[in-house]
Amino acid sequence: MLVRTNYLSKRYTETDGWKLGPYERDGGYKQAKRALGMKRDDLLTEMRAANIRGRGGAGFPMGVKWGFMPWPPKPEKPHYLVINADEGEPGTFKDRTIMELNPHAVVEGCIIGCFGIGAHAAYIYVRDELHLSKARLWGAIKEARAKGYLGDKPFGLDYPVEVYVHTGAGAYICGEETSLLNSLEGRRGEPRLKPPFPAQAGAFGMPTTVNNLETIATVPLALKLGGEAFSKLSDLHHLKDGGVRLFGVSGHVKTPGVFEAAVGLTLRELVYDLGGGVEHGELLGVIPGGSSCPILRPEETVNAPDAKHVLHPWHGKSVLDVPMGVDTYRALGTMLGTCCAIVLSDKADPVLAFHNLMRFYRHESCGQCTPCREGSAWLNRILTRVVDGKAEMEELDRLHEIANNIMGNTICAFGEGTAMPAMGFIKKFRKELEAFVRPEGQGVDRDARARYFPPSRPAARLATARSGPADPRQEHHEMAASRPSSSQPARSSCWRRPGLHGGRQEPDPRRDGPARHHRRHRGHVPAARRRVPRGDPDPGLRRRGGGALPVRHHAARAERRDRDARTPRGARGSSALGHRPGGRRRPATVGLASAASALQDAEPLRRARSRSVGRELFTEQVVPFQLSGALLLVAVVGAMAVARGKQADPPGAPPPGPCQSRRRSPSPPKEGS
Amino acid sequence: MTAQAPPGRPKPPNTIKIDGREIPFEPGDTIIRAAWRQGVEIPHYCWHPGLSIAANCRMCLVELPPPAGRPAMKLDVLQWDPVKKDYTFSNKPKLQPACQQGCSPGMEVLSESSKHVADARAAVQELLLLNHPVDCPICDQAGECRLQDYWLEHSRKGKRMKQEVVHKPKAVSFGPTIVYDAERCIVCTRCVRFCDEIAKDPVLDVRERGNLNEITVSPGRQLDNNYTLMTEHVCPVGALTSKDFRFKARVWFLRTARTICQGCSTGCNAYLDFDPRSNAPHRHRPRDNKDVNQYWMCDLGMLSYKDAIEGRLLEASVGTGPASIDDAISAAKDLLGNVAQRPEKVAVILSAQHSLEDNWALFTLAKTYLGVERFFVTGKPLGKGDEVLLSEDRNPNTAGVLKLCEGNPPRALGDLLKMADEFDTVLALGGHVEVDAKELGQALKGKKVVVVSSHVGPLSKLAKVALPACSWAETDATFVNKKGRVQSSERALHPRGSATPGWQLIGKLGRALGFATSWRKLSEVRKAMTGGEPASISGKQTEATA
Ligand SMILES: Cc1cc2nc3c(=O)[nH]c(=O)nc-3n(C[C@H](O)[C@H](O)[C@H](O)COP(=O)(O)O)c2cc1C
Ligand code: SF4
Ligand code: SF4
Ligand code: FES
Repeated sequence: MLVRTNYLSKRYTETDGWKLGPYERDGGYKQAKRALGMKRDDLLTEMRAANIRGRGGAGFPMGVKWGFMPWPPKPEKPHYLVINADEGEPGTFKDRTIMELNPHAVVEGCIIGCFGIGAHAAYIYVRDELHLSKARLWGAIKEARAKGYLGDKPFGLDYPVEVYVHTGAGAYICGEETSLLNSLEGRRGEPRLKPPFPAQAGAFGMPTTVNNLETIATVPLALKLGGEAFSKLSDLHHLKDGGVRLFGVSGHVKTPGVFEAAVGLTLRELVYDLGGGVEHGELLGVIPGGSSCPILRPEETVNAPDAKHVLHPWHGKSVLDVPMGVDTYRALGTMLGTCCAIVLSDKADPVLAFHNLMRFYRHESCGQCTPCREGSAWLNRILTRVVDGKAEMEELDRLHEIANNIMGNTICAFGEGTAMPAMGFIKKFRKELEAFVRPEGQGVDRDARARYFPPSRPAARLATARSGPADPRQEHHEMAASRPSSSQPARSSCWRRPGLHGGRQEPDPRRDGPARHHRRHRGHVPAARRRVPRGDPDPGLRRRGGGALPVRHHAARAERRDRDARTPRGARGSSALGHRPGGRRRPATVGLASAASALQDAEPLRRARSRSVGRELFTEQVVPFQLSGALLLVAVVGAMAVARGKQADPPGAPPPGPCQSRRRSPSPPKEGS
Repeated sequence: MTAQAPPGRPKPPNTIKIDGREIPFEPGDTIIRAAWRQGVEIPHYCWHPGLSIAANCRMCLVELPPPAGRPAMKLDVLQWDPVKKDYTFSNKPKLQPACQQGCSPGMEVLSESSKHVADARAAVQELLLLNHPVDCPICDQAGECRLQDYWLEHSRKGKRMKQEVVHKPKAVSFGPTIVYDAERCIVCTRCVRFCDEIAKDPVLDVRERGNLNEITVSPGRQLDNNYTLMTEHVCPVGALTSKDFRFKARVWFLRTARTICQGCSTGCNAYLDFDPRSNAPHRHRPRDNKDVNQYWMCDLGMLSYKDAIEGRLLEASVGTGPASIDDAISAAKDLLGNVAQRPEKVAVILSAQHSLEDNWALFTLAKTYLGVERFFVTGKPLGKGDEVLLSEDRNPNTAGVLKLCEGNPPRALGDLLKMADEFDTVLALGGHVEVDAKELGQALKGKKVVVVSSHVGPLSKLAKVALPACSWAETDATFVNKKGRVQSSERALHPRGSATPGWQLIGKLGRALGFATSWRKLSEVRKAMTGGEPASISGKQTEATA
């Protein structure tokens, strides 16, 4: 049942609504003050009654999680509250709206949260790319501190609370809570083994609660309304899934955006009422809650004849009519996740979407455990061949085996987050996959490619470029080359053996000359200007062993290591898996930031956002890899639609710019090279 | 789990059942460790008994059936139904890594007996080899590589990914001793954890992510601590290779003897790998011993296998010219003359470099037969030690010599230099000295010096008669480490040149001088040495299984 609410997003459209004044006018910080005067048990009881299910993906009841903290806190073991604002899940963009437009709710939530778990410090871990979010949070903290709401004596009460913002460096895996803690501590952002769980040994080895940003921002509201009353706003109160939350919808809908509503909304309402209906054709499927959730197709129906089954009330109905709740969706075989749906119209190609997703997971796997590290890459490899029209039936049959073998066999839930959507796509789009596979005993089916990427359409070029290079080595090097540019400039050619590639698009320093090579790989300093760094143990030996590579590549690698050295070991891995934190700003991010600030002109949030996506996609044809995953997916799905859809606006020719050379050039191969 | 057994019922015994077999465990044990202790192997790459748990290879997955009455945790998997021509969902139990999962009394573990486990292991094995170059023919690890072993045990399938593998750096020099091949690396992080936890020098780490992961040396650094070769040893595959051993031998041609490292007084238990065809030693490897070196050895010790051939005294000499052993012994007899009549003029130098047997022989000849009272001890000079294993004292048998001379402690060689005038004869073992060679030359000028030594050193150079003894690698020998632990070492090689066990040479010399130094066999020496008891050679020699 669609009940739109206006608690969290009340000031979203108000000029300067994110400042302290408007927040206090609406009763802000009263709950924090009240909480600090409460008994901890009473607060926990309220929170349990509020039935706030974690908004970060797993949907664990927040009040229960707070209760896991050892009590009373030992003086030698300080507790910490850590807020997860990494928001890396493709298709998810709700937390940033809170940070940008309602940051004081976060700060107030942190104060209450700290009191609830016995902590005196809260760390908000924000994805690096979200510059406006960080600025707004910093601003809010500053305002709150100036007012005496934070610090040694918040509201004059004797419970010191500090809130810090910590910047990640844009690795999806750093959203996983233990990985986030590692990153927070300045280690390599790899998930930790559990047990011990964060409540026993979390940040800095101390008891820690990790909450999603939206979860904590909901806390003041729940306290204000009273736990029970808050929970009852939801249609699924009986399933202990209470309150209101932010719903996102993106992809092929007419009005993508973030909407606040009571829990219990159905997917149909989200897509058709809030999202304004499907754009470019009919509904093909919906990925309900961020890309890690298996896709749902509208023709699926609920089969729950057992009266005790959670889904029984919806027996025989379309899955679109099941209320979006943690338990209902789990029963459907998918997940609610972050509650931000991605809509695909039938003009989009599910195979390309699938491939794109797997590309993402391959790129973001931390590589710790074997099944995820190798399995995600293999899935991607096969799908690359599929969309290139090179795959064989036998390879198609391997997809589900790989996914099965990842499933449950990994350290963190990333493995399942890869395997489950893969299984969903495999099961539900087998026919479409088969269409890409060349017929038995025949050569490469070039038509398959042509069918899907008519060369005349400019947007198709993007799709072609995205579909990946034909040569797996190229794919590998492309992946390497397109990692966060701050850390990995010309990785691609560093260890390549010259001559191994036909590689027309691969930069060849010997052919291109250093200047051109430099241009192609921004940030790659030509060898002439670089000294061979100290500490390079034995370049000669490496050169011999490495297969007669040009010296400068070794120098480049060594220099990178050299540069990393300047950060002490502890900080080296900071956040981005060994990448240098604080990279160069990417133009796309700036675009987003400005798009977001356009909101202040009282323009509805969703318009601004979709516009920014559109601009990124259609005018520049650059979709940087590290752009928030949400936009990435939306962008590609959009591109596909345009490629195939009838009503696509032909975008203007892309301006040639340095950005373009960073990506693989989509132009056809030149003869003789 | 069951912290307290309900009263009245007996506490369940501390055992778990792996595939139906009872395995006892100690508190805090993980499944894999309990099994390992009993010699039951659960396949693993990243787990090492001496390192922290990483649980990243996922080879050790086992199935833990839930306790009776509780539902198993099931996961959805897809199956292709060829009849229906559609996928169907089925499920599998959630498997747990045996290296991470603790034991609880009465726990049931399915390892070999579960099909799900077999599938998971085969899958991990396939995935590990997916991007592996499979260059076994040119890989030093071949023959002792886990990838090969487990492929045979758990996979036995051809590569199903037919495309080019991911290429990564090859033959990267990590430092003076180690070369790294990223393509062969399975990123088990054993080497990283070893450097962090054991060598206490965190120079290695993982860089990149996903399947581009590779190991890297801290920028500006080299892998150059005292334990670099151990990284090669813990590496379960051929990713790290030792520059010393690289391309020198194929391991299946090597034979192994259990020896004691000669590098320092810690007395690490080692394996000496040698090629019987060429009678050449090739490397030292640590031999697990919980009480001495756990699972480790230092670089100095690992490389000390070379002392079996380098710097050796291989032929007898009289004056400056070579001689046969018999000629040299009769020359020594002539030189020493009526030595038994003037024991106060004789200085006897024992060697901390030589085995207990050699020292015992010289000590017995001098004390019992000649009546000599004044003993000295020498060996290699002190070096720099560390907190891990390496001792300052670079001699394997200092404690042995001191024990031998109990009640009449030997003096340092420095003292001999000061009181050189009081002696005219020197009987010495070992070539190395800790004093200045020039001063020693001054002090021993014109004296009758007879030396039995395995290696060339200042003492053997000063000798009027020098006799070539076997090195530790060429004879069974006993050494006492700095903690007083008596340890035996096995013969690996055939003696080089005319080398003969030191105690035999001394026995011969005694007999030439007319004494009843009648020992001819090692067992006789050991029997006499220990006063009739069999030599107390302690140290349960646990085989390295990890
Ligand atoms: C691969 C992976 C990525 C994740 N990314 C995020 C994220 O970006 N933001 C987030 O809030 N939670 C993320 N999570 C979920 C967190 O691990 C954790 O469950 C959550 O922060 C707990 O907060 P909650 O209980 O309030 O939902 C991720 C989990 C996994 C396995
Ligand atoms: S499942 Fe993937 S992301 Fe998670 S720890 Fe393992 S390799 Fe890393
Ligand atoms: S080099 Fe060897 S020990 Fe180190 S991570 Fe790779 S495989 Fe493991
Ligand atoms: S041994 Fe590697 S996961 Fe257990």
